[in-house]
Amino acid sequence: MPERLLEVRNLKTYFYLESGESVKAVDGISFDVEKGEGLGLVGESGCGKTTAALSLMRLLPSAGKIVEGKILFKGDDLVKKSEDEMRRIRWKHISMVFQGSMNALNPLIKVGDQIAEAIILHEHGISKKEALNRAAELLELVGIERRRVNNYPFEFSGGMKQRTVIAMALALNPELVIADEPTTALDVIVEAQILGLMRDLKEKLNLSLIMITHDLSIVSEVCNDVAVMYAGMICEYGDLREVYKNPLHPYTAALVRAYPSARGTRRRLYSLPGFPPDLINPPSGCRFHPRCTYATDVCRKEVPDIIDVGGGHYVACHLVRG
Amino acid sequence: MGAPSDVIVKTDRLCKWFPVRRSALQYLRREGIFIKAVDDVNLDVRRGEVFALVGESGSGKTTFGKLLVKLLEPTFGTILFDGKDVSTLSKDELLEFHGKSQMIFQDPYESLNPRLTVFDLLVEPLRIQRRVKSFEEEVAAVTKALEDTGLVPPEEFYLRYPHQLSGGQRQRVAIARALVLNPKLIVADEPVSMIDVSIRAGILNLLLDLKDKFDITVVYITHDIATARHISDRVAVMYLGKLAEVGPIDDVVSEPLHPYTEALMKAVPDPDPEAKRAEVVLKGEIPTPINPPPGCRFRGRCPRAFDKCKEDVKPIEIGKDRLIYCHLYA
Ligand SMILES: Nc1ncnc2c1ncn2[C@@H]1O[C@H](COP(=O)(O)OP(=O)(O)OP(=O)(O)O)[C@@H](O)[C@H]1O
Ligand SMILES: Nc1ncnc2c1ncn2[C@@H]1O[C@H](COP(=O)(O)OP(=O)(O)OP(=O)(O)O)[C@@H](O)[C@H]1O
Ligand SMILES: [Mg+2]
Ligand SMILES: [Mg+2]
Repeated sequence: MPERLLEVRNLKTYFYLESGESVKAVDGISFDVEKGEGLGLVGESGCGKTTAALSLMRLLPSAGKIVEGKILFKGDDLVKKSEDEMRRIRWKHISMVFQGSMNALNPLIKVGDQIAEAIILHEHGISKKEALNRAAELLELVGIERRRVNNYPFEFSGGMKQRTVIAMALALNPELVIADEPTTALDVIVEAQILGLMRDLKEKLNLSLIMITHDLSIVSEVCNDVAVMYAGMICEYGDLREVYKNPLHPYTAALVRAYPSARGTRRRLYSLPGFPPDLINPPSGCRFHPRCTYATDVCRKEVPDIIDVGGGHYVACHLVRG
Repeated sequence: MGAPSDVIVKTDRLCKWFPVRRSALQYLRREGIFIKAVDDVNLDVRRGEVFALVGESGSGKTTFGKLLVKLLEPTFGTILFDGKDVSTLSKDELLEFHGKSQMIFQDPYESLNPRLTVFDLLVEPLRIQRRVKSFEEEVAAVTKALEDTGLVPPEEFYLRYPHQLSGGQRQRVAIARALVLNPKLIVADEPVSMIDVSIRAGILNLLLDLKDKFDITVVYITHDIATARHISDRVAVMYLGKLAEVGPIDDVVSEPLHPYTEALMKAVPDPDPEAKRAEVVLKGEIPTPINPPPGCRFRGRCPRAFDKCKEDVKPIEIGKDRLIYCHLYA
């Protein structure tokens, strides 16, 4: 049995707007991450992926609140931790590569100094020299020459900046790394390099990874499991190959068909009708029902439970029975 | 090769060099420094086809697209549209040209004026082109363009502002705005890269349908070979302002010949978890084409580079309808 590192149970995170309305960005999601394994969290823009990740890190903006659920990290519920306790867990045990963070490197500070600063901040008593040395090692780990510690961010290409923020996330030897859209805005060739790097790091360091992306085609590189999110909920979850080959939720099936493959046979792309929903007033019942060709009355009325249809393949759809 | 009348746009030695700021010394020495964004590109786009232009970021795709519709003026070289050199058009001919060749951009947020309603956005080009004489004609043209792009019922969209539309709807408005003028050529620059997957296919299928219905030629600019494969007939692969390879898309994808195309094809992700992508052999990242030395621009990253690559490359015709810009095939 692989060792279970993270168990998320029925997590709900809402944003409370000044108008009094709330955005149900994450509305009851559950998943597990095992030691040394990768989970892909896949879904379209606005479905709640980043919110889920920020909840795990307990770094939500002030309008955001975890309203229900558990985040068990090695059996310990992070939802109940104080900010002080979280500070001892964050970065050292769970770290994150933020969405778009490669563009958030400080342009005035040398890359090596930025990594060293992050180390000093969390590791008391470490000397500046030691920290810089670690920074150089980390750069090497992500495939950048040591001597580049003295470069400024503008001297780095996009791919090198992305490697740098990955290095920063690894600075304190975490067990779990959450990477939020780590290759968006990068070219295919650079993207392939970054994904290869993440796969190698995962193996070399026995890291657990949560890879957040809207692009189903990039998760297979580093993940064994996938959770497909739609409108704040997980609609299908399980082994990546199984879910891809045998998608049971109509949304997953549509996503798989909408994805063109450069290599397969040429075909007209499948286009899903309608548009992603508004999370302030989400559709009743199954949130996917307005776009679903198979929707029946029960779909409009009741939220489907997510059930195991066998072998750890979970689906939330009224049409699928366990 | 098709007969000349089959060609809607032909570029001949087309160049766009952007000057880079120079130091005083360089200025005194009269040394010019240029980003050669598009450099000596000869391409034929055939009437009625979807022609894909692919390449990494910074390879010059957008610049080439803007040159085609005359949003940019070339530094050297010529563009023939329907056999006519577009740099010699009179004022009236120019207006007509702009009606015939339209460009759609990546970011529908930026390309639509946020202060105009959908109705006004669509009427504006018609008025500029002096195509409508009455309000009734305006309504008819706008209604038709909205219907053609799947924005139905059209009345629901007349008075909406861009921010009241979803990303996919906004891109449809951008397409409708190009379509009201009955263009012959649409240059679509990454029209779906900012749009969610579940609605992406809808936009691409729409472009295909409009092409068939109205005999429009489409130049589809993208870095995404997978979508290009599904909607295009032919493809040109660009690298640092120059062409690497041109040919029918199925052939280029199944048997890439230029080492750059080969690397690009290997790097393309595949949604099928069984089809792991091959290791990418290329080192380094795409440099900027600032005063590039002569010879093949790809040689610094090419695993198969040899001495000859320092010399300029001439296109080599291989097989049916394919051109390769690589010394390996000389
Ligand atoms: N600070 C906030 N205040 C109010 N609503 C927010 C806030 N942050 C996010 N939201 C809303 O919560 C929902 C989920 O957003 P989130 O950023 O988690 O989506 P995502 O899946 O990461 O999308 P993307 O792929 O675009 O990054 C969206 O509807 C978003 O508008
Ligand atoms: N107005 C400009 N002034 C100076 N340089 C420019 C200008 N426009 C583009 N360039 C440069 O020309 C080169 C080609 O840019 P272009 O935008 O055509 O590339 P692209 O292939 O469309 O890239 P992307 O995929 O990122 O959109 C780049 O190096 C770019 O920095
Ligand atoms: Mg996000
Ligand atoms: Mg561009």
